[in-house]
Amino acid sequence: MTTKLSMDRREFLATTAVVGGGLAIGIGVPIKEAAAASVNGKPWLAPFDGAGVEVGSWVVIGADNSVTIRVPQNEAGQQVFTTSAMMVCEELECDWSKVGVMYIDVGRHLRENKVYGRISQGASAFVRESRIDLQRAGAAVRERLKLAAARRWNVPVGEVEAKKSVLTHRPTGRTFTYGQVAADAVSVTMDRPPAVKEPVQFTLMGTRVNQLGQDLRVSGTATFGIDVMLPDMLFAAVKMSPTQGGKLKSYDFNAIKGRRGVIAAVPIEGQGLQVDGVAVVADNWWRANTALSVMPVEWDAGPNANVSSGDIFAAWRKKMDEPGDLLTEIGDAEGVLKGAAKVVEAVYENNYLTHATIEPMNCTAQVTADRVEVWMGTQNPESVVTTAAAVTKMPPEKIFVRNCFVGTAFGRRLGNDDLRQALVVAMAMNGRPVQVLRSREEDMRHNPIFHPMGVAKLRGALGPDGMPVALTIRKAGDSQNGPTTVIRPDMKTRGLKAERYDTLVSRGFHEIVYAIPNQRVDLHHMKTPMATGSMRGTGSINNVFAFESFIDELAHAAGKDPYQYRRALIAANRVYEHRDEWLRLLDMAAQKIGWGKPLPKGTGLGIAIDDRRRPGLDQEFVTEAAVAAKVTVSQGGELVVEQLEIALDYGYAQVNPVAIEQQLRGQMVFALGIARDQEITLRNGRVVEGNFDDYPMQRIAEFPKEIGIQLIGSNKKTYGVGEEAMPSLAPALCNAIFAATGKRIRSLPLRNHDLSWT
Amino acid sequence: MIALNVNGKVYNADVEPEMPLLWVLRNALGLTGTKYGCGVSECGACTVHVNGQAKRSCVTPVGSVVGTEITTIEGLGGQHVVQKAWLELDVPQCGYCQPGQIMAAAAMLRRKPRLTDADIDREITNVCRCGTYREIRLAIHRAAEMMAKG
Ligand code: FES
Ligand code: FES
Repeated sequence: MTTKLSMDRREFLATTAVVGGGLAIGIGVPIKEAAAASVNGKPWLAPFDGAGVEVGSWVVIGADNSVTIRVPQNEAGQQVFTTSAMMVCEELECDWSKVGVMYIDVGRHLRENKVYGRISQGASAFVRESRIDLQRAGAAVRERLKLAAARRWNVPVGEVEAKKSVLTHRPTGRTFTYGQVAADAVSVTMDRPPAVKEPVQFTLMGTRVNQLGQDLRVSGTATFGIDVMLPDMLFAAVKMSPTQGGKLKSYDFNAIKGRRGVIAAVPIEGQGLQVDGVAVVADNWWRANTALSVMPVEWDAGPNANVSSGDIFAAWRKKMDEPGDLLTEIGDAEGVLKGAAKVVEAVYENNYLTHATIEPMNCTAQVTADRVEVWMGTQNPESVVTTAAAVTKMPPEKIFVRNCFVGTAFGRRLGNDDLRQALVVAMAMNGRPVQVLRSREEDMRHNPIFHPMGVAKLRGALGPDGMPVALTIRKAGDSQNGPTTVIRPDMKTRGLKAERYDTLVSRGFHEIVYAIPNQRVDLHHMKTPMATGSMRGTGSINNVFAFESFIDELAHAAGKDPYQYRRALIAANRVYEHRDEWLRLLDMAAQKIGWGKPLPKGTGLGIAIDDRRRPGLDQEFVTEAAVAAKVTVSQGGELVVEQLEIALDYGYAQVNPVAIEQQLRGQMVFALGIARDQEITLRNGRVVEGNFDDYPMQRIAEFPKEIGIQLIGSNKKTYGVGEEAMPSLAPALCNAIFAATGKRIRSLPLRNHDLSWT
Repeated sequence: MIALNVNGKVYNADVEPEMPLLWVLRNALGLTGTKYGCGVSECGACTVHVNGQAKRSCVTPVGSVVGTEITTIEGLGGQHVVQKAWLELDVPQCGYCQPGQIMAAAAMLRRKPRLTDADIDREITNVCRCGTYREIRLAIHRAAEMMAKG
């Protein structure tokens, strides 16, 4: 299949030079192996020139037999373009080499009763929630084309076959191309939705397919939000209150008025936390930002001017001695702990984190008397329409959203904070379009959804055989709205006592797979000055680090091998339905990392496992992943991550293995940054870190020499592949560091720790 | 007015000499392939060539490159061996950092057509938030191989 695809692509390339005119700007001749012209550089526009016929809401068929597929969610590197097209084409039986994609029109989605289903991107949900819809969309078009051909030939539809964009009347061998009957198919209706293929029948899904639009990405012609250029466009830089929760008091535009290119200063007020502030508008962003940096601005520091991370940690540590909101209780953990001969106790801590999207937050807006236009990379164009309507008081049908290529998102592009700023500034610009771009520093320090802090105290009592007989977990974490997620009554798992919780605080602690007879988990839902919310790996980043490190501590206290210890505890769980996959993945990762062989001091192995479930909410979806790490630590304390091994269960169906592998390696890089270097710190109400010098990114030199990936498909419903392995990285790494050095790491990032040993 | 030679064309830009080349390219000349990531020479998203050498344009005052030959990703032409290797290895995820990665790799390969992993570790310090480092490394080696074959 792989060869067939790339053959097709080569054939296609021979023709794209002709049909692709005006698409891949800057490339005269299509590049070998690239699916040239499959995406417009402006992805809200059609990929192909020439007329086409829309068959259903999802597919446009060109007279030249090209097929354009509308993509419901944003493309931020997770390959939504490619996977969308694969899901539709699997059923449509069209020629992959003639397939292109473009974003859906959000206005239409709203006008037509949300015809594109879930268009908000998040929680690794795309394949989980949209695959069947997209397969159905493709199948419906195929059936309508077949019916249209059957009508023309006046034969029963059962005699018509659809393959590679050609319809064949089997008995006579007569053919039509899709393009030839597409216009007829428009009026064909079907009484019921067609059946869709099961994964065993897939011929396209499950094969390795290169990403669509790569030619644009390597030639610099993909239009990210920041690249939008419009006639007469202005550029604005913004500043928000240096203290979290502070307010703009005054600014002195006169001081910068005469500066070259500077046009105006615009206050942004009443739009909410992390949005309000002041913008300076100029004919060039650097001029705007430079002027803004010298403009005198006064702030009312607000209530948090004395709040620092150290104080929050101290207060939360105290909370570890007070009971919190009960989440789960099985048996009598406290009672058993009191009488236990051997008790292990540890407190784990994580600081705030930020998404640090590589493309800083930006939005371009134009507000005229009768319409609002917005260009940005957004994870939720639907909320862009609602927010824009609220800010501009314009009806939703007058709001036009152009989603762009997205320079990473990780959950950050759901906030619409950049949108609000752009709209307020644009409203002051008399109809001229304006692009609001945050400097990296403003972007880093102002986020409506920083990833929460966490302090967790874990206690375990060991029985005479060294296995745990009781476990308590007490967790304090930021919770803006408290425990508001309502647990579905039909989804109560064993021991779950709460009616509602905040998944940001509790994720990873809900249902413990290790068989421990007495358990108690309680939570402190904390309010802080920081605005917090979701990020890739939400919640589990902190909790899986704490829990999977603590299990290691128990194993060590028991004098047992931490891999075998986990194994025994999982195997002993007689009720958990996915137990066998947990064991299998743990074994796969352990074996591949070379577990059990003697290693010199300074070299160590570590392992961790998790499955991203949200019991009580959508627990039927599970993606387990085990991560094993091999490290060396020099006596001076220099850490090298030699090897990582991931074993993941993609469950029921995989769409594109290339995308899965890239997502998994990407998660490791993302998680290594968190484990080694990254934290957001508050000092006197201000975020200290401002750029990649103090919020460091992983570079190529730090990338492990080997990241092995093993996949299994266990036929269960899959959660996703965007964030499922990453929470296990930090504990696997820190467990390996312990094995290498004897040093137990209970807080991140590692750069705060001295890893040297003698 | 400042006269600049970019991608073999002469542009006259009405900008002050201290404006970073990045913002001249992006906002004044409309060459948006060169990206802004940090503005402080940390990420490499803004990498261009000045007389064939990789330069981070966010910290390069435009006044300092008058009279030089500037090449941006747009000027690489799409057919450059590094771009070909990038496509073959299917490198980009989101793609945002890739123009900078490609420019950095192209400049290094010109200087050092035969390079090692250690060279890459030392010289390619661009950030990829998506984590495409494995593919970037493979693609650089592939480009070197293609260059050697001619
Ligand atoms: S933008 Fe120039 S190095 Fe980051
Ligand atoms: S490909 Fe997304 S940042 Fe590198």
